[in-house]
Amino acid sequence: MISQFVILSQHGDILLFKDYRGDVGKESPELFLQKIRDLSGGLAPPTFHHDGIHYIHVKHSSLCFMATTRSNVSPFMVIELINRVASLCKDYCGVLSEEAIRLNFPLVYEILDEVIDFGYPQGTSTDMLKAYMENSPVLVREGTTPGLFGAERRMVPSTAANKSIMGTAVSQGRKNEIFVDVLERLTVLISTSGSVLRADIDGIIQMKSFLVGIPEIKMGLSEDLTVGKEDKRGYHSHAHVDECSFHESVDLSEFGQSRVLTIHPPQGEFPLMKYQASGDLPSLLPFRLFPTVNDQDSSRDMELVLKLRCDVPSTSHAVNVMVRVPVPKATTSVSQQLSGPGQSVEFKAQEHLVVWSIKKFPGATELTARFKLAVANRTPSSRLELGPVSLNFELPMYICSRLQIRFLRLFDHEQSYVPYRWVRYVTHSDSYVIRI
Amino acid sequence: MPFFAGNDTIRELRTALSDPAVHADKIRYRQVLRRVVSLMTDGADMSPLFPDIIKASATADLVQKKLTYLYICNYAAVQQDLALLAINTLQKDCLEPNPMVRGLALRTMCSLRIPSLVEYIQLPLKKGLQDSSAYVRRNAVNGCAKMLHVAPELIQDASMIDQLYGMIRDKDPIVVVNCLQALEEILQAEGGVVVNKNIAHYLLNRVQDFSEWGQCQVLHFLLKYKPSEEEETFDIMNIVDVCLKHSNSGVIMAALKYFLFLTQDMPQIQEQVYNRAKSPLLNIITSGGPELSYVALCHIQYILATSPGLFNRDFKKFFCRYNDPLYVKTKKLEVLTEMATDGTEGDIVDELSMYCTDVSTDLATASIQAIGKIARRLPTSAAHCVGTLLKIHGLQQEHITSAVLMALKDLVLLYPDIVTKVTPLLPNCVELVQEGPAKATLVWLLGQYGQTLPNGPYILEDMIENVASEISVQVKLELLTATAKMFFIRPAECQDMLGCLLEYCIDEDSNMAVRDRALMYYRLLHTDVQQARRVILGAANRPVQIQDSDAPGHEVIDLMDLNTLVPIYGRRRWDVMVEEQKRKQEQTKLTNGTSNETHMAAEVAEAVEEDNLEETISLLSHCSLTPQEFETKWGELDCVTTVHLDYDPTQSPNGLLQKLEAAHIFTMASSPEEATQWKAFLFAVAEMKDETHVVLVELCLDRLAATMQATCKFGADHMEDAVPLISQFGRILRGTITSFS
Repeated sequence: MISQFVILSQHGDILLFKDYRGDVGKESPELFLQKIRDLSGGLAPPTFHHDGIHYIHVKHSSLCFMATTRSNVSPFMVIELINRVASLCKDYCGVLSEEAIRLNFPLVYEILDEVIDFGYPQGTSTDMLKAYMENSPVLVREGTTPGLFGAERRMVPSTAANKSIMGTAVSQGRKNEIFVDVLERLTVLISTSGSVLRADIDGIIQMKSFLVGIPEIKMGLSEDLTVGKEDKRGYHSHAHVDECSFHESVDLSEFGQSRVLTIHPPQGEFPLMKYQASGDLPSLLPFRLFPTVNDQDSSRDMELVLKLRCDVPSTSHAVNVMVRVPVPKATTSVSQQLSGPGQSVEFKAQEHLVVWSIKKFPGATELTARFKLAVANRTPSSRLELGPVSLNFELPMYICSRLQIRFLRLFDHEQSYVPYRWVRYVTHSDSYVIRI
Repeated sequence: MPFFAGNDTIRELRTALSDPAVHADKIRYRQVLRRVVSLMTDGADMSPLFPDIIKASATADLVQKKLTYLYICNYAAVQQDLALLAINTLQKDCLEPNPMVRGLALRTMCSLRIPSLVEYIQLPLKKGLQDSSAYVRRNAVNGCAKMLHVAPELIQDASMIDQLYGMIRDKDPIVVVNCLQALEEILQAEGGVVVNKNIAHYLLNRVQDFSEWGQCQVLHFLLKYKPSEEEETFDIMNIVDVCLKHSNSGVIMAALKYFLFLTQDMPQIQEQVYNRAKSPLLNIITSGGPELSYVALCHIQYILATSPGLFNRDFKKFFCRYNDPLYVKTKKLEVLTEMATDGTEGDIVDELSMYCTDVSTDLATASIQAIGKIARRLPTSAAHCVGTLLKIHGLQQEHITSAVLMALKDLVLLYPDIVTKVTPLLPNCVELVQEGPAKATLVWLLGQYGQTLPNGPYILEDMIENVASEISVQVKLELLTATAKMFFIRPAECQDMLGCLLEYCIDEDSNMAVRDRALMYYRLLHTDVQQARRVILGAANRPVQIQDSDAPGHEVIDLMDLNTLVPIYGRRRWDVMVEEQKRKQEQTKLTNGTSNETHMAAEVAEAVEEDNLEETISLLSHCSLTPQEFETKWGELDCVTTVHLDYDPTQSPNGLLQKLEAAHIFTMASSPEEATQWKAFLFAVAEMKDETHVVLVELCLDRLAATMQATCKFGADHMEDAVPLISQFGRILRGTITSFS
């Protein structure tokens, strides 16, 4: 059971303070911030203890959600609960930001009132709560400062999914929409010799529903999808995941046979399916790097040639590729030669980092960058300080597990309407590291 | 920063709240109230507005009502007299046809926490328990738990408890879970809610009805019922199996704990359960976000203590990702260190060596220490680890070199054959290493092994020349010893510099420890050079044992600790924390009772001490020593202190020994209880900064003077270790013995 729930801004302002049990003093947020500041630089663990009180906190975007307790609770449950509250705030306010919380604090108080009572979690499903919510959301308009206090605003169309599940009815006339995102995050580690030490996919099918009522949806996944570690895979051309788990709204009766999910989606955002795959991936890794380092002659600059190959099909492309190369601490300057336009290089002397950015990287192509590093007092160990290279990228409409959504059908017996359905696929780099 | 509203703001808000125009306009009224609540959240004192807000609470507008109730809950405690005025509206609301209003009013009423209002709340609460709406019943049940702290006599009543037990059969799953929780709190003194076979099976059959949070809680309560037959156990496991695949990690962990509990007496099946648990735990690490990942890592570390091999095949999952926050990386490092075995240590050490160049110096240092730890634990890996450390040393960075030196210091004692590889490095380090502890280590290494270096004495000579500017006492002490050692082996080169150093330390240095050691050396050398040689060099060849107290496999964990906060802090720290809290509570009681100044002072002193305790020593709960070892060590150890204690004649010496044993100070031998010159030999192993030190104690009792004298000897290689060790151990000893009397 938790004693208090606090939402803090980036600067340590208390945006929201809800006391459930009255057994922890009101000064707890200050003590918490004090402790966090003492342990700066990512050292403060999510759970710590001070004077009989446990502080458990989770960061979401720029906000910090913190719960205090005096009892020996399940940390998993509390963190999941905090995450759930954060996503409820997002569902109701449209976005999760300091401004959104400030504008909607009565609404967020209502959420906290209904979701947790006397420190115990009650119901948290978005649509169940909707019945108890009285405040209407105030939407945050991007790029503008808030105007009159409490004034109703309309949404910017480009962020179509960033809206409150309540706001739709009030401000825009109800629109039946459903958004499905297939997101994969890649964790890859490639050794100096080029062998893959680790390749993990961490995937999620995220659904955000603005549909009226709770209609039945059928979603067909790739028919050739195989699940399980032991499953023999002759060749890697079909979709595969090692493990998967589903949201409670999913009925799996047809999954074994035809890979069809029957869903009764609650309103708001929820993770429909989470899955993991590791080891041999069904498709090639999206990027390969061929580095060459020339540091034989210590009187001349250290030379580093990076040849980066994008191995996705030529129909796809990567965007916002960022190659980060840590360089020796004694590096004074960097000069470079790039093979094409749309690229840039930045040398961050303070962080000893060279960042090579590529706006758009078409599939099945190769880019080369040559760097000359001027290193003061070259020692043989300077070479050891070079690397490992880490890659940040985004691959729109490309998925490494080859999982596909074949169809998304709605069955609604009362109303016959055609909802708007949006399906996106994105692969992100989580930690894509190549040692050189 | 809290914003303090001035009187003007309050006056302005009060005017607005009593303005009929505002009352007529719903939107404006809401806005004023919003402002009040917003200021309240910022920490401003809005309590003067209490009467105005109570007026505002009598409204049909639910938004307005909710805001006012939020306010009332917050300030009721400060405005106890006025809170009575709020009761009227609340009572009326409890009779509203809209169940939402009834529920809200009941929840607010029970959250006021004012004993004088109990009589007004009693009736609505009882009615609420029988309400037709599940929402009201949920709030009523929670209300019972809330009222327990205000009016225990009302709640701890047989009929109330029976009613709550009956409501476990409610058709609303949230009411069921709330009932269990309320009963658990109400019946805390008797061990909480009773879960018999009937209730357990009823809950199991409904397990799918509960929300994810309900499942977490219900699985927790099910731990109270242990099925008697194997068949029943398997049936239960079949029912709960779905929970292991849940997407909420709280449910997974609760289910896992339940499985482990059920299979407690079936070791083979329990092993399967552990194997089953592997992949969900690993998935949380890769996909749960850093916070969950950290918690899962702590649990894995905890499990590794009993089953060290469990995650051997998955060690790559624990490699750091570059975007992990530092706390996750550090935890991963610890887990990797502990799970390294003969098969995997090569890969793990290679991976750890990659972190040495990390931008965070903390991580770099930690990774080097980790390599050192693996080398200490696995002799087969030592060669590889040392090779890696030597390679890392080539990076020529101060923090790296310092950490490498500290790691090597322990290894040269364990594996003397690596000395030849380590000594040639030392001259290069002199320029780089400037900080106290690392520099002291370097000087120690030079003293111990530097004789083979052609320029060994001259390195020391440079340091001696600059000794006046050296701040660290520890470095100076080591320098004295190192120079003295060097002198016995290469006297011709060292005589002058030793003279200079002794002169400086005796005449000019202000630190007592430095002067004492210098004087001792001087007198030794003055009296008999051969004896001095025996004393100063003598310790060089004694065998060493470096124990890592946190090496896996030597601890038995309690599986009931899983899915709690215990694995996060570790059992030992948890115990200290619990102890500390108990002591504080007793202290507060004491202070409240007498409230005299001495107690206050004692408490402050205690608090200061406790603050220090965190990073200091703890005594290991298990250690053994044979009488022979004790005797040899007693002769060997040279770090001695004497503690004088008062003796309470009403207490028996044997009781005293038991008490000491509970504090992890063990008895080696003691004289018969009735002896006039009662004596006992005690020992303990203290852990400090990952190192362990033996402590030996001779306790002598003087019955006539009612005093005791404890002679303590410490196994400390360095002066730096000895100082905190002596003070801390003395405090523990004193604390234990005096707490007895």
